[in-house]
Amino acid sequence: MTESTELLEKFEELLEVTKLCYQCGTCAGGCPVFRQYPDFNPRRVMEKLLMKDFSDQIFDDQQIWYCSMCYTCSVRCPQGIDIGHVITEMKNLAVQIKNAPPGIIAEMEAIMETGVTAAISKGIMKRREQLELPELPPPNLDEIQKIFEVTGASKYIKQIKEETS
Amino acid sequence: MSKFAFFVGCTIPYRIPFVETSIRKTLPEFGIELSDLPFACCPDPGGVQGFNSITWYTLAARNLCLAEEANLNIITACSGCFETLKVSNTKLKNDSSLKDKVNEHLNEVGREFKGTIEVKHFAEVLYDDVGIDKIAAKVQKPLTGLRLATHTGCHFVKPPEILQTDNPESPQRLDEMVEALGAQAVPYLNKLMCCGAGTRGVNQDTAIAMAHEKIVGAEKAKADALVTICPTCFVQYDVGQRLMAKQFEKTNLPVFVYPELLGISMGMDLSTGLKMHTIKVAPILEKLTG
Repeated sequence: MTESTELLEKFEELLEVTKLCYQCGTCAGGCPVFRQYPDFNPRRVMEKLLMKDFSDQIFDDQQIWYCSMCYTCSVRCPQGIDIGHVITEMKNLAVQIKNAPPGIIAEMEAIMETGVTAAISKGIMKRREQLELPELPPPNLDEIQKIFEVTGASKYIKQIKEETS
Repeated sequence: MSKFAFFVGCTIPYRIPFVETSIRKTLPEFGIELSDLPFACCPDPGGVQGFNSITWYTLAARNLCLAEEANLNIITACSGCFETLKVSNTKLKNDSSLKDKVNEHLNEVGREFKGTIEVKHFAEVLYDDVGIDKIAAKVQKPLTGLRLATHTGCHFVKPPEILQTDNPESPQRLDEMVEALGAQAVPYLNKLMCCGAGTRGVNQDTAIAMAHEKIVGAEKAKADALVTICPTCFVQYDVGQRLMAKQFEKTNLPVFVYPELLGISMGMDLSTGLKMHTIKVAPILEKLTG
């Protein structure tokens, strides 16, 4: 199976899941992001999937990345749609068509290079000393990098960086 | 004594290490032994799962393998790590096609997910395995008169069908846990709301505005402080208040993680770490001793 047919199949699966949505708006009503940033509206995301309306490039803009992954919509959806998971799947698809915000790319690169997301600064190591905290056993970076490679993450990071440079 | 592989994560050791101190000091008092293994990032349930789910599952499974090889259950210090590791562990145990796919990738690094261990959050261990009565019995300096806004956070309770810790729409355990220390858990506006950290990767201002709503809710309820069991939420609320001051009227609400309050109530000296908070906690400590 080629990568593009796999992408298409995944997308069809997503459309199938959203068919149960009757646009009640419970998801938007409980969404903590929507309260502060009304351009991110989970009901509208579902509507676009239902209508197969990609006129404003739902996968190409960065709106879906505003989802904070709190799963309030998933818990409250009267149709039992795991909306948070649908949005995660959409993010995965967006990455495959070369779209992810710089903050996410930076996080992926940090994990690949150091094994952790936070920068290990001299200041923080000094604080650890003051707090008499033990040295943590270092993660095996060769294994982490190999996993990035075999699961496709390295390739996607490279593609997106080439696209945006 | 029950021994766990201690999953400390990234945010705690490399941003707010004083949280690690409070956990390492308090848990052994309840017979919980913590063992350090060479874990990497859990990885992040938002960013990494959003980027590529199979990378997320495989990196999580690699961490799970380390604990399996040591024959230890995992105790997490962070709710994000808890969600990633418990969701991955549960799905990999129950979905053989996912397990096969992940093991195919893990084979490249000479590992195999077997499904032999469990993943628990420190608050879950304290509530379920230790129990409220035993927590209360350790209190030497009760937090009498302290009004606390409890923030359970999203990734301790959701997705509920997998995590099975507390009611996601009305979490009660953290309230009971602070009341065991002699403090009062106060009702406040937006108690259930997300801290906003998940949005930080794309828009800092929106993320900070989300955290601000909670701080305002807690202040209106005349809470003395906010308490959480998640380091990412802690960063949003503590360090975040400095960033909030750029968009909103300045606030000054002290923020704690539960093990700090637990340690204080047990009479421990956590002063070195407590001084490292962004929002000064000295007024709270004075209120307790005064």
